[in-house]
Amino acid sequence: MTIIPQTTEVENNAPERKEDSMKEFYQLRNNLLLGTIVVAFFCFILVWYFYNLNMSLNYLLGACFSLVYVRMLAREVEQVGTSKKRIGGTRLAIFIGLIIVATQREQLQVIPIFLGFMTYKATILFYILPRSFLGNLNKSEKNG
Amino acid sequence: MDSSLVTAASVVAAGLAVGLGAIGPGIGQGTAAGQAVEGIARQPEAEGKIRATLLLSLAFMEALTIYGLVIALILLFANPFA
Repeated sequence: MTIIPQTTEVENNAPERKEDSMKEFYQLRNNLLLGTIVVAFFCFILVWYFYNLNMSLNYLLGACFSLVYVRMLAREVEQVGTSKKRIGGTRLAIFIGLIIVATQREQLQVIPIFLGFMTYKATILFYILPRSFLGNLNKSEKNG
Repeated sequence: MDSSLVTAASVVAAGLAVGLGAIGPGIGQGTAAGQAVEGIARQPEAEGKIRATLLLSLAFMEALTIYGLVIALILLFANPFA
C-alpha cells in the first residue's frame, strides 16, 4: 500500500528531473544559435567593408543555412536514443541543395556561401576555446 | 587533354571524395552516438551534459564530410579543369 504513492511521486518528478538535466543542452543550443547570429552579423559587416555588398549577401545566405543546420543538428541530437530515425540525411541534403544552386546561378558565389555555412564552426570554436582554457586554468590552480 | 577524360576523372574523383571522406566521420558519429546513449542509460541525471557534448562532437565530425562534399560538388557542377 505504501509503495503506490512513492511510485507516483517518482513518476511525477521524472519529467522535472529530465528537464533539469537537459537544461545544459538547451543552454548550449541557444548559445550556439545566438552566437552564430552574432558572428554572422559581424562577418557580414566585415565582408561588406572589405569586399562588396554582393559577396556579403552571399555570405549571409550561407550563414542563414548554417543556422538552419545547427537547429536541425540540435533537434536530431535531442532525439538520439528516443526515436529510431536515422540521423544526418536531411541536413546534408539542405547543404547539397545550397551548393548546387550556388554553382548553377551566376549571381551566387560558392566560396562566400560555403564560408558562410561554416560560421557555425567558428561559433563553436569561439564558444569552446575560452571555456577549455579557463577549465584548464582552474584545474591547475586547484592542483597548486 | 581530352575533355571527356577530364570529365570522367572528375566524376570518379567526386565519388571518391564523398565516399572516402564519409567513412571516417560515419564510423566516428556512430560510435559517439552509441556511447552517448549508453552513457545516458547509465547516468540519466547527466543527460544534458552528454547530449551537449554529443552535439559539439557531431558538429565537428560532420564538418569533415562537408569538406569532401564541397569538393565533390565543385568537381561535378563547377569544374575548374573542364
